[in-house]
Amino acid sequence: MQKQQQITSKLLFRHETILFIIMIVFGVVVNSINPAFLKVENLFDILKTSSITGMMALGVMVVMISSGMDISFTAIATVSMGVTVRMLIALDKGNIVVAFLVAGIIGALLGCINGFLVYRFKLPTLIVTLGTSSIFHGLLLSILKIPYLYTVPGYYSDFSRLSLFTFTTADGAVVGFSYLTVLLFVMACVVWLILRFTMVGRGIYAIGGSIEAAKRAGFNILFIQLFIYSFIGFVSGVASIEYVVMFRHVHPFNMMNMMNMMLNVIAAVVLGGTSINGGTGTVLGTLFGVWMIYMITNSLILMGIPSEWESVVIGFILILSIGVNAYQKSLRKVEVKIIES
Amino acid sequence: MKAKHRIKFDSSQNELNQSVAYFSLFVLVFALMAILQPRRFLSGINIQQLAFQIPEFGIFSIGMMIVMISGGIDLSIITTATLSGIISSIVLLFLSHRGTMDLGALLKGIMADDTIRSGLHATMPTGISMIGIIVLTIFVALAVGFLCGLLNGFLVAKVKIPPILATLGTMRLYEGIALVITKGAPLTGFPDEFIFLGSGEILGIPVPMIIFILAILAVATLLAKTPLGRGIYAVGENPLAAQYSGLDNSKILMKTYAITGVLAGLAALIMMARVDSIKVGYGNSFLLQSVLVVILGGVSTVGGTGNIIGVVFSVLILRVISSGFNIMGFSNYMRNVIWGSLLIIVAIVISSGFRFIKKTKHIDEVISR
Amino acid sequence: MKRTLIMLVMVLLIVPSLVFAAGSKEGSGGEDLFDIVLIGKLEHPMFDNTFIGMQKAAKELGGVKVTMVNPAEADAAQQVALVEDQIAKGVDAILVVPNDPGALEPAFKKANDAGILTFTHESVLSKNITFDFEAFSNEVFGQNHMDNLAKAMNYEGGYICFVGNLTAVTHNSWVDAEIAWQKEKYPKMYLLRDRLVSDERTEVAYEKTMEAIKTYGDKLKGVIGSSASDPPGAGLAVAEKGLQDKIAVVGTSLGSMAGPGLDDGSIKVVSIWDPQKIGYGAVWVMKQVLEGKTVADGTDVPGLGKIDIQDKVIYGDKSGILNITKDNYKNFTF
Repeated sequence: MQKQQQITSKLLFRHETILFIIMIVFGVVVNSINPAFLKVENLFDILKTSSITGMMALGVMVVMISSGMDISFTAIATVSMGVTVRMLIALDKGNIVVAFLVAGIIGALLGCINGFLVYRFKLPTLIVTLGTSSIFHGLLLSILKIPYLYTVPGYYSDFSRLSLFTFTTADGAVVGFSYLTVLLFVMACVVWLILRFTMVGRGIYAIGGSIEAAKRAGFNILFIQLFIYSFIGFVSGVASIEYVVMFRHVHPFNMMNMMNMMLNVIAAVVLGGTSINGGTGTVLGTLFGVWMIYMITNSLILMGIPSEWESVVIGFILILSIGVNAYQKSLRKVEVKIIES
Repeated sequence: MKAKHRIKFDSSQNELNQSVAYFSLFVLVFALMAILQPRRFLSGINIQQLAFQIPEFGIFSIGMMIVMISGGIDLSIITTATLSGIISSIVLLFLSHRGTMDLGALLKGIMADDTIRSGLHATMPTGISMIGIIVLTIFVALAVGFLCGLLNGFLVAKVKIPPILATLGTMRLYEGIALVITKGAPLTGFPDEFIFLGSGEILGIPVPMIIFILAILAVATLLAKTPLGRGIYAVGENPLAAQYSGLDNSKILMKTYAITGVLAGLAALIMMARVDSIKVGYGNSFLLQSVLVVILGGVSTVGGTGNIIGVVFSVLILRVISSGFNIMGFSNYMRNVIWGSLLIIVAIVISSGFRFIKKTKHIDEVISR
Repeated sequence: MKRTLIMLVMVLLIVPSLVFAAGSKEGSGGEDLFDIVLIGKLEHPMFDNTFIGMQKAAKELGGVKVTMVNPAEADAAQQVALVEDQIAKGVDAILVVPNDPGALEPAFKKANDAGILTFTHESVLSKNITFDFEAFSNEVFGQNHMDNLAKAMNYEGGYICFVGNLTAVTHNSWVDAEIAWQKEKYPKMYLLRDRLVSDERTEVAYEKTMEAIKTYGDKLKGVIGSSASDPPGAGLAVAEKGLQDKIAVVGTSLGSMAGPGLDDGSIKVVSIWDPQKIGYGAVWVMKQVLEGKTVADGTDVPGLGKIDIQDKVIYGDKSGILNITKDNYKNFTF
């Protein structure tokens, strides 16, 4: 009896559950202002546009579980995007699968550099990635001189129109479930499997707990660090091709527009329950975090909020939703203490 | 007992070494620039410009340093400055132009509603001297900064939101409030007496530089000599230990963020006075730079360590190098590459230095045993 | 301590080698040329093209050396620093495309005090300058956008306007002119909501147009963009929903950026000034001023046409607007 109560309270206090409830409440509120919000079409569109952020967020989550921080992922994405698209155009070959793979590999290689620096010199990860971020982006522009490209091969835009399935809604609109969303779900499953069932996955959590303890437990720290940083490099590369697919251009700054992109991704991951100090974090929570942020930023016009109020509203909702979550968490800690005593 | 004493001595020695290292690096960089481009870099104009450019960035960095020592971060520091700049500008413009010119036209851009405007006008006291107006403006700017910081502190300390998220939210919030007030338009046309704060000189020393130096002294004293300062370090190093040793963590954190807010308000005043205007978006590029400078200055990213000397020298080094780069005509991109490499190299040097000292400390312990 | 020292020495060795390696690229021009520097808003092909026009003028007119430096991000503080560096460098004239006119005034004043002439482009409000160059007035440009839109949406229905930022003075004056012109000329059209902000990013313009389509449904017939990224972003949203025939997208952009949208019909017309012509005309005027000659109202300036000087602003010919459509966008290099 008591055990059952504990399980219910555990489920109720789970981060994902709380986040989910906040999302539902928010959705219902917006929907009551404008019924267009909870339509399948809109939800599918949010899933599609958020898939780029979602992809990067998975990488950031993995790094943060290991108690690291990577802020070079936007730079890595920009570099792999520029190099991949240019290279495939120059070779006059390629298709969308090749593009995804090449960009992913370039990203992984760049990430390896981060991983090596972090492991070899035991530097704070924030410093390493802050440094490599300017180096990667600077080299792209000063030596490779990748220009703006506003015309990209047809296979990119073809892919953006592909849907897993389509159906027609009651009011006649054709709604499709984009392959970009599918890609995100597949990647999410892969990350979940790795974290849950593999040695590397356990190693990532172990490093996040205490690197010394992980070493003593026999984990290969070098391999795990390299894996972590090349993984975030890989997903950034993949995300960069998703960007080309969606927006049909290569731009050395848009993705790099760090303040917005980077902070949004990191905010989504933290909102999703990953601790900045490492050791905790779930795939589901991260996806919820990404969608939550997208729901907030993509419902302001629907709600008819004037542009100059936009920042106030986003800031306010962000603080409110994070605040509720954080407050719940601190309550739970008290609860645990009481149970323990 | 003896060993303990020894370690303590060692760590202050360590701090001293570090300061010497930073100072030598600064001298070196400065000398290098002076040798490479003697005519341009050492010209009186350039040196003076450096003296005008450094303070606002320097004050932001000190503010960032305080919160980072406490184990947090303040992403809202720039928009706090924007908001306090805008609110204090309104006070300044409103009061200083009173009676002398058409107030209605001045405020049309700021307050669309005529009744509010005339109502406000009627309640405004008359007969304040210019000095009084400027003192009031300064007070308003610092007070707004204080309140913004207090809200950050409240969210971090009481609601227990991770600092990076709390200040990300307030960053948007403060920017948003500033946008709602101004609708994005710049506020400009400050009286000359106020401009003096940003571009005046006393005995040949730029006023912003004097303000900067005073701010450094104040913060240095605060961190080294007051219980609050020691509390900030303690909370940053190990919040749990700090709590068990009887410190009121949340009070300390609230104060920490409030102080950073006040510093942001101070930087806003200098920024306003230097460019004779204020607008949403000013100084946005300072945000990441100030984090970079604080890290370069030897403040640990997880809090608890770091001192103001390292940070101030990092500010100087950064400005000197980038001024030198500009004079030498590097492209921005190459500059970025050099920046990044420099950051990593310095980090490697600092960390291996620390590790070495740790090792000697260990040996000391062994010996004294 | 020894190791720290060794490391320090290493840094000391590495830094200079980096600096020298990059510094050796610096070349010096002739001594007797007028040194003119262009400071753009950020690194962008548009300013590259302005600079190409300036280089062309320098080559053809002679006696002038032109260089370009741009801030890494579109930030006012960085531009101020760049201007101050040019003062230290001791150039003859600076042409700035300000991110924020107000912020640059003190720096301009310092430059003027040091005997350096200051000019701006896309900044009618600047004060401490000799001249500001505009291809045409903001009003004319906004009216042109509205004429284009009205024609494309058959003179009736609802529309929305984008600005890059609420703080962008030019964008806001275009939009003001657009709305005023619509009220005067096209009574069957109506504004659906106040201006939207795109952050000057394609993806934001795309997301917000998507949302506007859902919010206003059939009422939305037209979109006007102000920053060069707005029409491509809005066009993508329109194309994705297959509404090319129902929603017209026009605005400021470049042929290269809007090309795909113009091709698939999601963008109808984009308008721009010819940056190369502006660059050429600006150098022509600056050279006159540097040589101590005056430039009078109504002068025929190569690149700008017959100029109209109002206070400190030089407006080019009204014919300076370049309307780019599906049929002619391939003729332009930018």
